[in-house]
Amino acid sequence: MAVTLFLTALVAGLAVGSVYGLIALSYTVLFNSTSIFNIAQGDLMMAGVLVSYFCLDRWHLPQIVALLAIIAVVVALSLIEERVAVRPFLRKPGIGLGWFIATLAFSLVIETVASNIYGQNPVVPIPGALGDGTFSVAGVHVATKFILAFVVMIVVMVALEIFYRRTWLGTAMRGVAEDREVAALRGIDALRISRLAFVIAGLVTALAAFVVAPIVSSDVTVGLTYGLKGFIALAIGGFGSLRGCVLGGLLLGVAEQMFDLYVTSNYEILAALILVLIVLAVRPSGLFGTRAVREV
Amino acid sequence: MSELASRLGFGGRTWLRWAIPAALIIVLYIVPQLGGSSQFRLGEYEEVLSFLVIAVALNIAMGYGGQYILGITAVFAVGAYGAILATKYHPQGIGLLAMCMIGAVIGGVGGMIIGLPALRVGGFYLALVSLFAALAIPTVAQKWAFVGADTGIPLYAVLGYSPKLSGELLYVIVVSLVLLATLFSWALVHSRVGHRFVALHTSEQLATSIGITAYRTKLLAIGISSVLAGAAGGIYVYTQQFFAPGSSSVNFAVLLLAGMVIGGGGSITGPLIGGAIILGINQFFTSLQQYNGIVFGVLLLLFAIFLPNGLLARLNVLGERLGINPPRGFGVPGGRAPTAAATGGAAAAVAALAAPVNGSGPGTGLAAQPARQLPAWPPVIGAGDSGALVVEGARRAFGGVTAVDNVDLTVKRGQIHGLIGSNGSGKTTLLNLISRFYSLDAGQIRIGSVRLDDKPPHAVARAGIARTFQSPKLMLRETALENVIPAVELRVRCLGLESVLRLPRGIRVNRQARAEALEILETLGLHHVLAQEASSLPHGTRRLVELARAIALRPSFVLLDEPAAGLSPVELELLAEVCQNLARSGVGVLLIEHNVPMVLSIADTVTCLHQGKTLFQGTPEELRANTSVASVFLGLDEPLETPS
Amino acid sequence: MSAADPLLDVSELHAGYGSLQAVAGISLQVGAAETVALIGRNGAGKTTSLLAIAGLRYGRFPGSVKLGGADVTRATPRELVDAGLAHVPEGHRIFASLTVEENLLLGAYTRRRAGRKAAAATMERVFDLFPILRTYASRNAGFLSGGEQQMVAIGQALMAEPKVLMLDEPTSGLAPMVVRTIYDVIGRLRDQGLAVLMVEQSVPRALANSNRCYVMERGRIVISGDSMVLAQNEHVFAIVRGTEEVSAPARSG
Repeated sequence: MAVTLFLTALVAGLAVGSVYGLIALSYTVLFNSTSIFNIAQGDLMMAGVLVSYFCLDRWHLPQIVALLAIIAVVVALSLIEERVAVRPFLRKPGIGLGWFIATLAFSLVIETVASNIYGQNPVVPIPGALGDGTFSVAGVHVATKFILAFVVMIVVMVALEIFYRRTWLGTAMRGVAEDREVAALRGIDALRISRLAFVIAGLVTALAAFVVAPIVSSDVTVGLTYGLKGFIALAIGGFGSLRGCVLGGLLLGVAEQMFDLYVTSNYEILAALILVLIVLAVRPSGLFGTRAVREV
Repeated sequence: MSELASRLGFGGRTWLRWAIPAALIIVLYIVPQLGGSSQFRLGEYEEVLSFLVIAVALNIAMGYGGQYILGITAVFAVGAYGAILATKYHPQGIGLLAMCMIGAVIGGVGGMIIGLPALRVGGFYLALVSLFAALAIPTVAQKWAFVGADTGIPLYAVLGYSPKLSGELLYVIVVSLVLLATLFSWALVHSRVGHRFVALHTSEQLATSIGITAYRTKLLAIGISSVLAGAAGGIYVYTQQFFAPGSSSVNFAVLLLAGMVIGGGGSITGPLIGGAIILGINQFFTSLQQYNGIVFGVLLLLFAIFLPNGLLARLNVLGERLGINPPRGFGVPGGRAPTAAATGGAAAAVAALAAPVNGSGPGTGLAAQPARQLPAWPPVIGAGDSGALVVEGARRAFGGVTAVDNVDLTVKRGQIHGLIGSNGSGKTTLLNLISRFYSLDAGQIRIGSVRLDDKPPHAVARAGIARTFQSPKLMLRETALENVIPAVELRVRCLGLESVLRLPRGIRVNRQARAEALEILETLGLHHVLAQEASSLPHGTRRLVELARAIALRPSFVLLDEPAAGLSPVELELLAEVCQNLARSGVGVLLIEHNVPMVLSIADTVTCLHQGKTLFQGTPEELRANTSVASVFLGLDEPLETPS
Repeated sequence: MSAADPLLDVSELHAGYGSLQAVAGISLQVGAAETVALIGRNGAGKTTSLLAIAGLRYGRFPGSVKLGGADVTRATPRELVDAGLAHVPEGHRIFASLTVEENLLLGAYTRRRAGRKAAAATMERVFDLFPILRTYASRNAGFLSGGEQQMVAIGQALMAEPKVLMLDEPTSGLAPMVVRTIYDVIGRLRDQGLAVLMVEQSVPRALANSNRCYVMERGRIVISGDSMVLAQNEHVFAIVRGTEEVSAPARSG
């Protein structure tokens, strides 16, 4: 019995952790080419969830249409953010946290707009892509939406690794993150690369939104929460590492569920706070950390 | 201050500088007369006022100290809950003051818990972790019955609770508390404690080079800020008689941040103005409250991009034009020099080149002077020892590059030791090793027999070693005088508290520090830039101010990192005189320079580095005659002595 | 001066930060198969000149830059690379967390349409010039010595097959052996027809490894001419050492 409880919590943790991992991956894409941490990523994901709600719950469109709509909206918002909130700072010498404040402001705007669009409607579940059934593994019931989230996260991680190691663009992105001036001198347009990074990050976020929507339902207020938890996943896993994202996210998810099960239920958010404080105290660069955030 | 004022020749409209804020304060007190004084209205004013105290707190940590404790609302909430819980269980015994104190203590503790680990990693982490705390606290409170869960704790429902203050009297008291908090923050910022905050905010390297302990100072900034924010919680609880999870949220934290950015951090009144605007709009324009996020978000974005220094900076410029404010700087082509210039990079090199070449006249900051008599500057810090600064077998590699390879070097007290070498020869790395910005891979650095290489960076200054930087590191928004004072404060000591609260010893020490800094600057011919903002000073003058700061420490050793670059001939002469005077006073000088003739003319002994190794060590005469050095170092086929 | 039209023709170049002029009007030419050195004291404006030519502007500049006859004064760095200009900034800057191979590959980024095989072929030629890099191909560039990093930096610039190569203090702080290697390579490139413009801190090194030389002081060119002739000119050494002040306009040695 105790084993089943443990396993259920573990599975739930891995599922939620996949969500955190996906958000962390989208952070890393941007971070690896601009050294900027985009706090608005969580709200961008939530905007995608909202699109999902409209497509699937209100207008009953097929899943594939919903997916395309999400991608379109999230990537568009990403590009707007790049133009409006980030580009002005990429041009300046990297001093100050002005870009952070700008992205925070942007997330506030998105969140308010989303709240107003959604209005006072109650939170409703959103149908999952693979249906809403469950799987049975070792006596534990796993919802298919959780499995989908996990699988998508792994696929995205692998795809990103291939992208960074094997493609011209991916290599160029890594170069731009290191030294924009040398990259420019070799004919690599740093601003274009940054824009592309936003597109890719937007894609990852859109995928995240698509698989996350059935899990979080249509709650539009959770953008910042997920955004911050994505940051914690990164802090645990280490900035700059793709594997760190995945592991950090999974660890966070599992830690929350274990806290819920063994310490006290209802207060899982404390688990995240305690965990990050411990990690920062013991191993500040995270498990796989490589690079530093553009500093104050 | 008035002495300086008359020296700079004020008159005209400067009284407005004091009159305008005074008028605003009076208006603040009579707001109930103007806008309505119903119980409900008063409650609304008091709510905004308590939030303004949080803004003051945030300004101390973030605007001055550079610590991005964005989630300070978490501290506020924790303090408020503490105060309200205490009152719930002791309704008879707790009044406004008690609530503030309870809030302050609990808030302070909460702030430290968040700050401690995050600080180890960096300011950015502090921002996000504290933001997360600001999210977590209300979320936890929502489900915790002990604190009333979602509905919170209403004090008016507690039996036996009857607050002694209410109505307009309470309002006046709250306004006074806000003003008190503001006054406190002003006093703090203009005290030795505040100087440390600003130095740290400017650059950790700058701060440690004048003996400031980075970690402790950051914690102090967060601690003071948290205590104030917690106290604000007490004020809130007393005036609203209520606290619930919804009373503080992440969005609220963003609003406060918006207030700070819009008003202008780094000044006392900026955040108050911005906070009043933002919070005022939020509070009193409730019809469109659901769209507030959009309005504030856009405002914050626009300000972050276009007006990062906030409204106050604009107002100050306006004030200057109207003759209300003293001018911040004169004689620099094109007005304010770019802020980036003093922080290094190609821009700095370019700015350095453009410094006016002539020695005197407007724009150089140096009055034409005949050869001056410099007073003696015998060491004060580290004077007890008589040992030399010894580097033995120093080795340091970065990746595959060995920057410093088995270097020995001794700087004797009272001697000038020149260090020359081509770019990349390891000179600056060696300097940074002595300053403990880098650790040694092998070897030792000591003063006499006391080892230095196992101590933290701030211990270097405290051991009596001062330094300057390749690109002058100054606090750009402070005046030349204010840049030098913190160095004096390292050895002219009193308790931080005494300085902040202006206790007798604090006032005495503040004055003494100021006087000594003034004296040194005047000796270097900088008396007419004393009150000018460092950002408006040309490169050569900044270099001299930095030199003054190093001298102000009254150190036993001074390390100078390529000080001659970009100096006019007159300034070069002064530099040489200063070095010689330091040596005469018994200070050991390590002079890193590209300008070989200058080094050869004043140094007692010279070391030449090449690719991290010692190529030559000896007297200038020996160097001049040494052909192998000339050929390797400069690639010359002849000794350094020019023909003719 | 070579009889043919110069590949790089700079005329009245100005550059500065804001209203501060670091380069106050310089004119220089570099022809094919010649090496031209630019020397002067620290702070004379040499680095800023190269950066301005390379399209990383620091402020407004009247004046013109022509590459192979085409006006590239307002060209972006990318357009300059396409036109055949490559600049190696000072400080052996490379992408430290990428391997040597990846570093070189990025040098050919503007030619990626031609495919990996073409890039690999060019990389082989770079390895022929700097054989030691072949052994380090898969190593992270950050772990190489300063000299080896400089070789990567130069190799990276060569990957775009430039016609004009600019180098800012290519050998400062490097061991004598590496200095020799790099100058040998520069000489070989020059013989293959490249136009080379280099900033050099050491006057004798500059004069020994170049055909012609320009001396800069306070943003202007004050002396120029054939390197062998300038080597006899005491004024040159004095200016660079800082023991002589010059405000005279450019004159040939």
